[in-house]
Amino acid sequence: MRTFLSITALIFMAACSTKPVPLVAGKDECASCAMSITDLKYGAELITEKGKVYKFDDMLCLMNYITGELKATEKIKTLLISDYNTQQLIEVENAIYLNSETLHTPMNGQVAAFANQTEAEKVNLEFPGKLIKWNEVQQLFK
Amino acid sequence: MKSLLALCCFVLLLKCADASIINVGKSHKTQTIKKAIELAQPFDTLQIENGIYKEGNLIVAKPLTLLGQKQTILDGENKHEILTISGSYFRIKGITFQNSGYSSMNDFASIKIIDAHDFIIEQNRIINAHFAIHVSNSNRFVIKNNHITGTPAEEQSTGNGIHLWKCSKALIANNNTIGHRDGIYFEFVTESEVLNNYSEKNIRYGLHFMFSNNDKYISNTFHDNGAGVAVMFSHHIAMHYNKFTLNRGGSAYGILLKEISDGEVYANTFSNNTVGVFMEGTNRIHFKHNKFYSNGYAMKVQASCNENNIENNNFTGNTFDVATNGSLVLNTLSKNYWDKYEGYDLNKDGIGDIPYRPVSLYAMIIETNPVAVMFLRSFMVSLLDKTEKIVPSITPENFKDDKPAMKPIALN
Repeated sequence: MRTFLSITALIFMAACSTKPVPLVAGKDECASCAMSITDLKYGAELITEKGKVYKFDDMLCLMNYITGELKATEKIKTLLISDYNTQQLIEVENAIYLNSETLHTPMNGQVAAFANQTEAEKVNLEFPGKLIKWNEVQQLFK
Repeated sequence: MKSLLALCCFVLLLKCADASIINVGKSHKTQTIKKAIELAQPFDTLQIENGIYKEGNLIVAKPLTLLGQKQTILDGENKHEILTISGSYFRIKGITFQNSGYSSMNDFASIKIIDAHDFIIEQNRIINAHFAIHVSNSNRFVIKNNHITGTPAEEQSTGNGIHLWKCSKALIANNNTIGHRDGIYFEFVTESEVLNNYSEKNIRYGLHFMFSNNDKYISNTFHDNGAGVAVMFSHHIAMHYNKFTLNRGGSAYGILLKEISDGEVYANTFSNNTVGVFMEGTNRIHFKHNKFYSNGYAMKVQASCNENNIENNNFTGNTFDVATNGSLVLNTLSKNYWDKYEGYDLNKDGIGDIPYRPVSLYAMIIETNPVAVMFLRSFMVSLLDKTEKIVPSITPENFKDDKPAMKPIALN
């Protein structure tokens, strides 16, 4: 009985997996602006507690979705953002952000994310702007 | 007196001769374009002979005319941006650009124009570029008769065909753009016209407007692009006589209208698209004399659309005429021809006597549960649709055409 229970529990937990789903350029559509995602440098993803995945092409769209379109019944489990260089999804709290008017993001959100500080500083030389943290990004889009 | 006149003529001639022609090529004194640009005085013409020129990045900052011959090829060797121009009164004509480089940091282009005004880019061929023609911060210019072919192998390394950023008063005419990210891309572009262009097999959109107002696009053809055409976050756009064909896929639309207002969509043709027109947050757009045929959905009108006027259009052979996701309808449908209309016309005035409801029950079901599309054309579904037509319960009651035309509207 115990093994049966643990197996069923395992199956249920697998169904609720909230692992990041990689963005596919040219195939995925932004949940907010409806554009197809082509530039993986600026992508983002929202995973709900129930495991539903929403994909975005720009930080601006992610923020718009959270503040506007997200249903009240849906709770956010994880927020992910594309690393500018590796284009891998990383958690928003762990990233460092560059806010620059010269960045050409798909929706003119003007924010790029980086997994580490030195990479961010390097890109900052090319695109003059401010390096900020996640809470400041949230302020930016308020 | 005579001698004075002669002198005047001579001086005038000298003045004209100021704008001289510099021949560039293997058989001439000036063998490289770089050298010729250095030597050239403002308003000179560089006549570039046939041949392949691999000169890295050429920078032009004076008013010059660059003329190519049939086989004048500028090659970027997959490393360099080829031509970077700023200033005014320049003209680039009849040159072939190939293999410009790719950089993830900079938007490398075959022809990049920065901070310029009053110029013409015409009759060039651009092959295998990241961005083909990239114009920023410029106004009053013409880009015409260019032939642009990209290699759409990887989405990442493909830029846009004709890319305009912060421009005004541009004319983009008779260009072919094939195999780029967006065929033609407008961001913050005002008072411009896009005429007679052809966009095909671009990975994202054939034409893409973002934050661009008071523009017109007329008589263009958008065929088999990744997701069709997108007009977003803009107002006062006129879209006339365009053809939107064969844009198919999960997120593909003939035209995607999002957050736009006060536009005109006249006499366009939408055929063989997954969705002909997709509208979200769209206000005060006037649809008139358009043809919708053989689309999955002719129109998807989301509940966030207000005061749009859809009249005198032909809807034929579409799987679904109109779909919506809400019950509140603030748009007007009038005098359209619907091939699915089953009403009658007793007083013979050419207008059906009972209204037509273009939103079928089944379209509403698919909207909330896309997998249900499996039962399309089954007996039960037809039965449900018929019942719903008689007693509307789920479909929005006031989403209807009160004056449906009995015969197709004659449109050419």
